[in-house]
Amino acid sequence: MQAGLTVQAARENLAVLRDFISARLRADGVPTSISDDVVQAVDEAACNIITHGYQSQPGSIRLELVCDGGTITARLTDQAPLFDPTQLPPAKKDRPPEERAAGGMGVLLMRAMVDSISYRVTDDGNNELTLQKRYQT
Amino acid sequence: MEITSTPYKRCDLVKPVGRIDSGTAPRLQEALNLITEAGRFKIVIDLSGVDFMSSAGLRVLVNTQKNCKRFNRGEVVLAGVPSNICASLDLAGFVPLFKIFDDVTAAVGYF
Repeated sequence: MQAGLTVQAARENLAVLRDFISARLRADGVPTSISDDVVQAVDEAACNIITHGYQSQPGSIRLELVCDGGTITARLTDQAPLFDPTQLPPAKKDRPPEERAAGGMGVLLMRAMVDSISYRVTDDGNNELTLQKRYQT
Repeated sequence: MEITSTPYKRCDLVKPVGRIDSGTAPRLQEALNLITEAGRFKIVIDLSGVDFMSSAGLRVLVNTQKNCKRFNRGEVVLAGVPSNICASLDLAGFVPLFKIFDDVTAAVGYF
């Protein structure tokens, strides 16, 4: 299965991305527990693109979703200023929880929900973030 | 997301239904702020109707807990937490921050 979707970079569209992923993975027979993790990871990643990449300025986010032989790949591309979320420090779990509510939690959840995350700058200078999750078919 | 707030004698019950992401989380924060700004700091949040919560929602829970626990004036407790949200709370290290009850009756009875 291969599918794609482009949305405006706005918080209201996070639900559009989530629904798209849920529907496509469900149609492909992916267990809900697995697709829920992908949905959560992409939500956090897209939210970071809107907040840190576009800094709430207008722009678009392209999602490519591939499900093949037990591997789900979600690739997010955007034209925001170059920004590598894999370099964001995750929330420090050794600090008392009430002292670290401000940031880093999205990155922490995103990393926990998928097996791998990689970032690169595309040939035409866009951000490309690739999330992968494997499951038993 | 729909939010209903019900004042009880000893606490307030807040029930968001739907999905809490960074687009809708501010509305939950506003609903909770209305209660704390009225000087009420004992709050039960019923999460049984929430089918998705991102880190933005977790942040609302933690911010409100910090506010309510200040000066020992109150506390936020959670009820009906779906397993996927429980897993997120655990991953973020926030489980120790909240008393979690199976249902609303037990949670309201705590206060």
